[in-house]
Amino acid sequence: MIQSLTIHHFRGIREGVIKNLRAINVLIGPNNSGKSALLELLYLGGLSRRTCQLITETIEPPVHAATTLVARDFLSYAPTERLRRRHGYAVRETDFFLIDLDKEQLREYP
Amino acid sequence: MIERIIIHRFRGIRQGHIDRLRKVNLFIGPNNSGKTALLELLYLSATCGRPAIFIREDLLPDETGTLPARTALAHDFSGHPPFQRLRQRHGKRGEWKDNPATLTRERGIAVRLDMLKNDVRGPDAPWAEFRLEPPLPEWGEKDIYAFEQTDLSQIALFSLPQPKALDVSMIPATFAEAGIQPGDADWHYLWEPDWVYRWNLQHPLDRLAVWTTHGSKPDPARVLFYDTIAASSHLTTSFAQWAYNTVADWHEDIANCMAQIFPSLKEATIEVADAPDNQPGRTGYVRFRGQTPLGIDQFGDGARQAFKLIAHFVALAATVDESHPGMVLWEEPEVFQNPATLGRLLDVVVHLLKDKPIQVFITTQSLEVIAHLTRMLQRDILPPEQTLAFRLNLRDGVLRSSWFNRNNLTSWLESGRDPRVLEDIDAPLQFQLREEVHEDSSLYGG
Repeated sequence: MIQSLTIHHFRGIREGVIKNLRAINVLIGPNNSGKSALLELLYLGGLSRRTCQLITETIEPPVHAATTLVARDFLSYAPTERLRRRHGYAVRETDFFLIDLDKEQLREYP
Repeated sequence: MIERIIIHRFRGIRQGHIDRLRKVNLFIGPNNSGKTALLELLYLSATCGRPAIFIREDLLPDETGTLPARTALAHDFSGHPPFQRLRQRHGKRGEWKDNPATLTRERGIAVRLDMLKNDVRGPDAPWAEFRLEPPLPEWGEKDIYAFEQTDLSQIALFSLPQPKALDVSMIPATFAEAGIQPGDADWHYLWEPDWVYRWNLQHPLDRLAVWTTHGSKPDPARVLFYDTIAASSHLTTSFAQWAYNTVADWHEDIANCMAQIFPSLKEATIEVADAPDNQPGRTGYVRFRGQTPLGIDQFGDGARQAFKLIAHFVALAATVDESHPGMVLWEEPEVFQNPATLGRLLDVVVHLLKDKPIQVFITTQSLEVIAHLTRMLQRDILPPEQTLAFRLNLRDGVLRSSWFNRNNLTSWLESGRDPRVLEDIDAPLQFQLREEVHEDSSLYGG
């Protein structure tokens, strides 16, 4: 379970911390207070389940274990495509990096 | 101004009527009580403004076989084809491929009602065929009303504005019983089965949705349907171009309104420009001095919704006059809005539309909307004699309504009861005028 978030420069949020997250969390607040931004951030975070390696040229050590977005979410949408559409953008061809889910066995339905 | 509607088989409504429509009308009621259906019906009625001639060969032309008619405009105020938009709202394709219509030699449309997909349990179509011919152009003018191939997958409706007479095959029995005369009203006929109440087909006319509107319609080109989908789509280029060229200070007016709704935008200017990524349409960009502009779609949903609404409302308010009255159909103003923002949004909109010849229809599920508008009535910001709330009720396909004015609404809210959740419209409510309820239900025998 995610228990806290620390945010740096995500959408309208320059920085922020949210703690004490529980099994069920209700976000309320005025318009443009970051409710949907938090949902989107959790969405991206939750879908970042594809293992990869982050290679950095200038930082030691140069290889880090990392994860990046899976190709499809639970409803079978491509995550970045979905969020980009939500915000009135077109989907660019560079957004597609199709991965065979069955091969990767990333789709873990409960 | 449309004052009254009588309905025969439109969507979930088998029959029903609504009277006493005012300049500002608020529709409340449970889910599936017909609120949105009424908005759609008003939208189709009001955008039915393209002239044509209705011809039935099986009737004598000088009696009822040839009548002046109207059909759907190619584009509504915001630049969308009316039928395409409504079909897509209901999860369908925008085009109706099975329309039993063909182009005639005179560039009209011939519709074979007997070719409508036939339900074996239903009766035959009320008449076999009719045509909608374009009116003859003036000498030397271009034939702007001639129909084209693309119209065939769009047009499914015609209206007869106050016909001098109507053949009996075109008048639903309930209308005849209620004593509605042809010349009293604009008569609408919709033949796409998806829009027709589908159960219990008994009479030939049951295969069509038929309704009348009484009173005068707005200018068909000034009908704004602001539904809950509009927030997440871009403005059409045709609308944005027209508004920019027609409305002086369009951008400035939008920015002023937005600053009133969202105080944090006070220092910002707003421009409408091409949507990102070479997409069709335009959208808003907010610019603070010395910073790169930020697309409105990057803001929260409340701000996006408000921007797109305001962009349309400002343009409509600036371009109506007594000879070009407008209509606003606004679905659920509360969507995405924090109650504080919602109050300011309603204030701004009422200020924009007030004193303009615009008839307004609002559907809502929100107690905040009802309460805020009631407060505006109490302070005479909204004229009490021009405003009514209608509580709709749809049972067994029969649409009924009871209406509430400033006093009713006030006692409603003061009594601490929630007007939205009362289950039974027939139960006498303490503040409801009984004789009025009786009169409202009398058309179909209560």
